[in-house]
Amino acid sequence: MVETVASGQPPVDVAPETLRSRRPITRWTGPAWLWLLLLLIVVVASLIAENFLSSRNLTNVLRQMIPLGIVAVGQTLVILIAGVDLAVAATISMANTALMGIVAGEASNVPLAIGVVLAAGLLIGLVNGLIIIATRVPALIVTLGTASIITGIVFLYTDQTNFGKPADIMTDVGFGSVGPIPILFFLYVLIAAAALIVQNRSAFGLHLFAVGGSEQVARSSGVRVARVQIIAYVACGFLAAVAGIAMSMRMGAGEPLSGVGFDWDSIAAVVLGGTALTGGRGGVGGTIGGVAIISILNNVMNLAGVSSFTQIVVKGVIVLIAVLLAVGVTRRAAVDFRDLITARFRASGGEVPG
Amino acid sequence: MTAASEAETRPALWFSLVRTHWSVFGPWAILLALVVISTLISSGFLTTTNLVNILRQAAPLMIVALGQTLVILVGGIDVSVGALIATTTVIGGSLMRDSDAMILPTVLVVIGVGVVVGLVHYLFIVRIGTDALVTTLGTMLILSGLNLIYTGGAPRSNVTVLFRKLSDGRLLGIPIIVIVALFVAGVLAFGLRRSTFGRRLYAVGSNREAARLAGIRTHRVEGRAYVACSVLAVVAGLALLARIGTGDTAAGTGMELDSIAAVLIGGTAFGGGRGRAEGTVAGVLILTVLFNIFNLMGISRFAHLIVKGVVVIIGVALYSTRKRGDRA
Amino acid sequence: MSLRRYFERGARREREGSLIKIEQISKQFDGVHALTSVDGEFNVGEIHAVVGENGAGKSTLVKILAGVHEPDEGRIHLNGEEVSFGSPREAMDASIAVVYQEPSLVPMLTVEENLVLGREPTRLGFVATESMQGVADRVLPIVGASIDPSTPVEKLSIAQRQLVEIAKALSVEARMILLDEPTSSLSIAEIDRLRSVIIDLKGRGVGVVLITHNIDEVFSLADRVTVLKDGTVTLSAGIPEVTPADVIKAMIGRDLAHMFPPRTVDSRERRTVVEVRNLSIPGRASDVSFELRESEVLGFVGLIGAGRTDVAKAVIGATGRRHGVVFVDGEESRIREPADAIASGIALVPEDRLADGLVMDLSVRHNIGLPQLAELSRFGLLDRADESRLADEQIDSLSIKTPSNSTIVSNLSGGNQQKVVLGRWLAKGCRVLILDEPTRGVDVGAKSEIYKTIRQLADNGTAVMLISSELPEILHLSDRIIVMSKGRIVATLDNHAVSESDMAGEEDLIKLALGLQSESGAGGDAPSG
Repeated sequence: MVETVASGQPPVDVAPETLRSRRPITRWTGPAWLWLLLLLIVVVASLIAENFLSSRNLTNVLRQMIPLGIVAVGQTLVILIAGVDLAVAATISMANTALMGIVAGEASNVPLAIGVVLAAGLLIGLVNGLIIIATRVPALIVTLGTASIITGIVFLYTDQTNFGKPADIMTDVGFGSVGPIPILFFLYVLIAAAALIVQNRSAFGLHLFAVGGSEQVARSSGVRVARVQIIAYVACGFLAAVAGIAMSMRMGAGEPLSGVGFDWDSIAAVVLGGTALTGGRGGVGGTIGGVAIISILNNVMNLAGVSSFTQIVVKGVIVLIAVLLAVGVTRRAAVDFRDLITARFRASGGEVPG
Repeated sequence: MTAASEAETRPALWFSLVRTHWSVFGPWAILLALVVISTLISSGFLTTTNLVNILRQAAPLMIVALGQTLVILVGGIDVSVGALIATTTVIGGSLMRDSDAMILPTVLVVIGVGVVVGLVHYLFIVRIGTDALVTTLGTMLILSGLNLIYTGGAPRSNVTVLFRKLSDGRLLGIPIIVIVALFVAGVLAFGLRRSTFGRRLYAVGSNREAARLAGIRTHRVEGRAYVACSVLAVVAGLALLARIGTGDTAAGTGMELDSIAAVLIGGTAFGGGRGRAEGTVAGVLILTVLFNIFNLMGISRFAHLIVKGVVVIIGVALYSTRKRGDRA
Repeated sequence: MSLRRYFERGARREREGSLIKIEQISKQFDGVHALTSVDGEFNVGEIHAVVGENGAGKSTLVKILAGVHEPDEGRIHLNGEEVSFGSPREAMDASIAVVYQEPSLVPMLTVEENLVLGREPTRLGFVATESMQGVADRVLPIVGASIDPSTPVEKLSIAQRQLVEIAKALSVEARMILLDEPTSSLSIAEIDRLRSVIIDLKGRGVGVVLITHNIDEVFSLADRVTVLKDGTVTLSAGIPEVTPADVIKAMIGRDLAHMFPPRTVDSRERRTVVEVRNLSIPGRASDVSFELRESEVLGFVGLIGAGRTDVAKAVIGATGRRHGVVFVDGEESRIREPADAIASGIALVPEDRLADGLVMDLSVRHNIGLPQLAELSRFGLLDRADESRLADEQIDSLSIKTPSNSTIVSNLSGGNQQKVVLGRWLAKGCRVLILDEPTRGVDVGAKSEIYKTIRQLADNGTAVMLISSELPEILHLSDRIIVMSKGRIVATLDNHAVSESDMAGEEDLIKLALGLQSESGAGGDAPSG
């Protein structure tokens, strides 16, 4: 057991063991207001659209959430370390077209195709992470650059037309469901759960928050900052590829533009879910809620017959709302931090910081 | 100063000298290299027709990128410019009603729209403090959606011949649109260097708090940058409209990213406070020459995308110094 | 890191023994000597206080011991062996832990997670919760922290976070813990608790290096004291051998008197330019009222966290929420942002010139002309000749050492940078100039020039609000002195009558300022709100 040096201990009021309560539940669920908002939307939706709560519609909604949700989980990890990944859209397109191309209708090609696509996703993430760390170019630009490169490759590969063919088994999985729940939704749940567990229970998860909160503090605590960053981007690339695969299960061919919009949508979902763009706060729990809100809103608008054009406008409004809410998050964090700093102000100057 | 500290400063000074000058001359060096390579690759490159073509291609992007320069200089970003360009063509295309008399009112209306968008950005980003990237993403979506709703997917084209002269016409052999772009570049280059607004812009971009305590009304400066960026995007939209002659909801797609790339390749630092309009001009030309040479060589547009991605990353890496507080 | 390695580390350290000795340590930044030929010995099982005023070099010393900076000259010995710390990690491995003033906890993570950060006990990559909880249960009682270890750190008070940081140092089995100004923002009760923790640490055989301003702490806690003044050691002795008076004398000395030009104008009869009434800034200042008169230098003295800078920022319009009223020339001011204040002739030379004072990317000339861009231009275009002339005037009159007026300010030394900031406001001309720690990080020569300038300003009619932690400055320059503590004004003193030889008055003042005694009993907990 640990050495206990007998010495005059200061009066201890209560031992920590007895004080200990559960860790804040919001690390798992995201902010409380998010779920209230979701509830509100669901209630309003069921009033507006008659068949909103029908089993078939439920399936639709869940289905919508799958690709966006999977991508958004990956994006959360990257945003937590104060980065961003704008290459996810291109990665999804890549995953979709490559999968269809390799499968070419033959079920026997499916395992190979999936393997290749996942490897490609990992590779993309790795390249992103390495370039960002090595060149100190902002993540925004790097991932835009890699997105351009990937898109170019995809277009070359497919000659910018629909490409390849799914195997029957893929279509079965894609359209299949257990009761009202699509098969692939379980995949999403699995991924989200795994991400939550990693985020809240693993050392890596602690490191994510540390690096996002303050690189300096993380470094001086012995965290390997560069490794954490690379893993985050690799995970994001990987999950984008998974999302592309999941999406492909319901498509008739590979489309080179299939990923369009997923970059901004995933960021919107993450921000809506309460994760700060400056890093270090929030998490996957909130993202799940954000994805749910966005998907339900899309669904409601479809049911209500809102034109797809108007839906784009609504999406923009949601983004603006999300970003306003985010100000509350970051402002609270900033006030916290500033109080801390000013109260324990630098006592001695005397030196010009080197 | 002791010998030890002198030795410390001497190499440090060297580096900072090289670094400052590189970020000024670097883009032009790259451009020169590109031009040389292009001449070697293709005989059709160095002809007057081609060069004029390049400039004409570059003009709308140049105007947008110059606006983006202002915003990036002040520490922000604006990804809605592409959508705003589309909005300009769409509204312009339908308002003009084939009547020369309507040109001026149309121009005023679209500029008004640009000002409104800029003010929305000011409200959210500068006054409330929302994140610039995501906020302009939001306005981009709203504008895109509105474009589609307004045209119902079928844009009108009522652009008059006179207006199209903006693109087709020439003055002393130079396309008018190029003159406009160079004029804007000149105004910005001069203004950033010599005007009070320019000085304030650099100060706010470099250190907002210090500028504020020194008496600069930082909100106004930032607001003006955003409004100017939107207005210049509108101008670029008008230029595009003159060239294509019709409203197009897809006009300007990708120009937001291209403009950002051009600004950064041109040596302006993300996070603000450093950079020049001239650099942006070089950045725009680099991207356009790249596009042009690919065309001349008959290489597919797709390969161009790939090379562009690589060029952007390398170009920015060459003189990107991330300031503290930037996104990783 | 597995549990087993945890214990192995501790066992290894037992065998190492523990003594840090530094010899002839010198360090300078940009030509400013932060430390010169400093010697010292820091033992385990001993509380060693390092005291000195601002700019004395305490912080630099801590950073060198912590591996953040490397000394330019000198040697560090650890248990007789010469070592050098190239990084904080190396110092950590040598069992030296530092609790800084800047927060080094991750707000979103819980207490116990922070305690193990970077050294998490893991099983297949997942944090072994029981082991982590074990660490918390072991070290938190040692520091007497009754904190729920599963609370996110962001919910803790400053005092609690401090305890957690000390606990973290203990959790890595540190043998030497450096505490940098730990009590500056704590209430009396919290200070008491911290004291007992420190004493207990000593009992456990940990060495404590306590950086502090507070003489009281020194004499109630420490075994040894080392006094730094202007980067050199002026006193190093065991506590039983010295008296508080000795320490104070070593801290401030008296030979700076000749640096200060004499007063020529009596400001007692002058009119009030700015009046602050019942100013309260939630969490920072409470019920502050004072007047600033023409030609007067009003000194503000107090410890960190006293609220002086916040008051200054409120006067100039740089803070957000506040209550109370500020009158300028008898009228209620409508100052909403600094630009308004400057338009009324009120300006601030901020405490942190790098972060808030200068635009580092711009030149000397640009920085000096910054508040006057409108005046220096015609039709929106700057008159560069005018701007240049303006800058040259200031370079001349303040003796700013710079190759030219277009040198980028980041290339100048600290003292000259400060002169640029001053020059900016001298060029503009103000009725009220607020100076926040104007000579911090400034070499002696530049200091005396700045003092001369301050005196000139006052003589010419400017009202000067001088915030400083350097007592000689305050004593020799101020006409009146306001002492603040924890957000309140605890005393207002008339300095007109204090002569050079009036020692008793000075000592009282110092004691007040350092918290050794509170005249009106007003010292106490931090203001709420």
